[in-house]
Amino acid sequence: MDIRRKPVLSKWLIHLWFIVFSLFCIIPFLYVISISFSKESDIAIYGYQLIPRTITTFAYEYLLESPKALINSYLVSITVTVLGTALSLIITAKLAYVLSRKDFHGSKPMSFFVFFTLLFSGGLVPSYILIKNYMHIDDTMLSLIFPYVIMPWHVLLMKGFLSDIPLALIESAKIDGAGEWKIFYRIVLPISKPAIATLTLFIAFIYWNDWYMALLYIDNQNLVPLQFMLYRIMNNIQFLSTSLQTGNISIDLSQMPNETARMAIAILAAGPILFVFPFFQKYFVKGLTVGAVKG
Amino acid sequence: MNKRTTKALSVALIGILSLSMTLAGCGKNETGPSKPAATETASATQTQEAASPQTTDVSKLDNVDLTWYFGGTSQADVGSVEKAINEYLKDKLNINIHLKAVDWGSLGQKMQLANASGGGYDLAFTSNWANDYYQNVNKGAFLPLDDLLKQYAPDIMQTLPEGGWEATRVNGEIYAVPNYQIWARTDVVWPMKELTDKYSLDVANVKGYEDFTSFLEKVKAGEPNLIPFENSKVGEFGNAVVHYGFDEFVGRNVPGVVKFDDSNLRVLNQFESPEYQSFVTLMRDWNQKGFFRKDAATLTDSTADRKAAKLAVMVGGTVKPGGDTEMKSLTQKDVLMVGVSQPVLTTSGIIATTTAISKSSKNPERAMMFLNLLYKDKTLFNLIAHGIEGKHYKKINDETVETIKDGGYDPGTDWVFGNQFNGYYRNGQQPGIWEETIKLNESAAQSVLLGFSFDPTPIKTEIAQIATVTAQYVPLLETGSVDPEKFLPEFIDKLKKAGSDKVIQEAQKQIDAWKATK
Repeated sequence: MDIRRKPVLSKWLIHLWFIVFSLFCIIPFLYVISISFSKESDIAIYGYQLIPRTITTFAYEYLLESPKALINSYLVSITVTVLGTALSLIITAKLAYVLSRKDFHGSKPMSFFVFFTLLFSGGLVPSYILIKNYMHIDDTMLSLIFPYVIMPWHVLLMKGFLSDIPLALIESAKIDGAGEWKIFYRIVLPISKPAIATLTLFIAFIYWNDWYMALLYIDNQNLVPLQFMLYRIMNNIQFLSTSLQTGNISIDLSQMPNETARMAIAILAAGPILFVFPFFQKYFVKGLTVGAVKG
Repeated sequence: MNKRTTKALSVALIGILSLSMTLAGCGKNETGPSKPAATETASATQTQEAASPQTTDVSKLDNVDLTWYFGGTSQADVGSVEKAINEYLKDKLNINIHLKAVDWGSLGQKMQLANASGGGYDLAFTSNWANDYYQNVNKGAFLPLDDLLKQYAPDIMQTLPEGGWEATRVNGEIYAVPNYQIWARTDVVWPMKELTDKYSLDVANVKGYEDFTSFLEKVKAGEPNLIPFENSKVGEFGNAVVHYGFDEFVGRNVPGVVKFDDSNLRVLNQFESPEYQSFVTLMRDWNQKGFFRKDAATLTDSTADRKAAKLAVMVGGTVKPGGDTEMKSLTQKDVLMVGVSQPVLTTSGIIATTTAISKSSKNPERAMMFLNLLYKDKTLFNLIAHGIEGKHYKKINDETVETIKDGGYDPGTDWVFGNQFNGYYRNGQQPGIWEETIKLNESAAQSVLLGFSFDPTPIKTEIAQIATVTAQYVPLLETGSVDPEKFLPEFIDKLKKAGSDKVIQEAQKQIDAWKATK
């Protein structure tokens, strides 16, 4: 006997809404892909098109002609992302675990301490002075990693998840003779896999997509991450095209990469994360609840 | 949380907030440029040796580091150039130079942070379009240079004409050394040579934009693949201000101009002027004739069109000897350089490229000596501008060089490093253009406002409000996308509501005060 109800109109409307929304997200990206495979002269004559008129891999060849800088920035990005994510994850998890323990008396004020920085930050200049004049790590890889090691939002996310672990579980482990470290590593971490996976993705995203810290602290060309390289190209072209008209300056724009090359860099920069994303998808359902009741 | 902690916390919060406000107050210098006393190192050296640098005993100079921030792309092989410079200056100056190229787009932000965190540099590129000169001076980031120039820079003083110094003065003090390159500003259009030949346009008769109309009509009819005239949302009026005789001393797209030759120094609102009206009317006419790209009003950047040689006539920049060859390297086609105004020396044209010394510099006198050498010593200048011979460039003849591809050093911006006229010519440049440029600078008429610098602080709010209005109307009117009959009065009205009259009054007040001191 078939007890499935007929799909109602409202359901289809919701479907439609999401289909349209997805298209809005996907189409610009398809454009970028299309432009990166187009001929420069086609873009000048016909404008942007979803299907390239003549498909060419010229832009990618041009980029990979002198791949040293590109490969180098890839390595920097990957190193920073891997090291940063590992460090950030372990510290965030430990802090969040301590805050989530109801039998720890300092947890409330400490949580507030973390939460407070979410609302009020010292601002750009103090953090710049801290990195440059006190820690002296400007122009090193550490300056790309440290500023994002503890992000209050991530700590609260993790804390929300860990708070659901019943205290009884921890107490029974204690009775069985486990110490605090053992409880954390052998019990707490394994049962919070979904949250860890979610956090890993979030943190990796932040490290992978960050160009701002590089803008502030990096002078050494060998430490330029991929995104900053991309940002510089785009930002420069935009800045110069407006200011070249104002003053007595001449900058050779013919050395700047063309539209197709810029889009090709964008594709190369976004690529890896796009492939990683689907593997984490399944953990999202569980991991993304901040203190809300899970179904 | 119980009552007591809440109370304690709120007290703490108020404390923190008020503290942060106080600190924020400290950071701002409300009283305009402060006049720093000459730094201790400088005064110490002065007492020791009140002599000119020629007799400075180099063996007594201990080795110091000099850091120089400027705009441009970081060069892979900058290390070997730095080494070569240090070696070359070993018995002249005994320094360790650090050349730090920052992208033009982020130079201003980077320098602001550096200043906020105590500097840590000696020399910096500063201008009215990147790493803002007046902002830096107002914040007290730069040293006043008058004494240092007298003491350590006889060659700079000899080289630069008086007008250059006039332009860099703020409240009577010099805070930067103008780089010696093209200073005169002449509005210019760049038609493609093959088209002017084909459609017989005699550029000698071209005096202004309107003289192009019939030529553009022929291009439109005969060349369906080309865009007759360059235009974008930046607007074209800025490329015609000199043609109309305006000195834009307040800034681009801010009301307030003075006619170059108006000895009464009366401030006008350029957007209310008959010149602006006739200009946007012409643009409207051209737009309806289809001379621009359809999306001109939203187009941010037409570099791609330039590279593809799709523009029959390009606009922007200034007339300068060798400008047409520069354009050719971009478009790969022969381009004519047609001046549509007389050459004029303005403050903004000169401070477009200057070098300042940081207040945080530990060795300002050494930085000044180094600058002086850049203006005098051709070998040093070419080391910085072109790199090492045989490694980064090849000599074609005595005065022309060719960059070696992938050599790892080619900043390509000679005008950043002091005296451009010390440099080799690049392959494709006509020898002799340096001398021509010097002549052009010297023959240019001086604007009546040369040496006046406007302080926007009292009308910051109005300028911000005006910026939102101009951002909306300038692209529409100056690309001819809307009818000026209807939209120009609306634009002027909104400008008035945003406080344009107050800006004009303030500008007039400052100019009158400046005039009184002359």
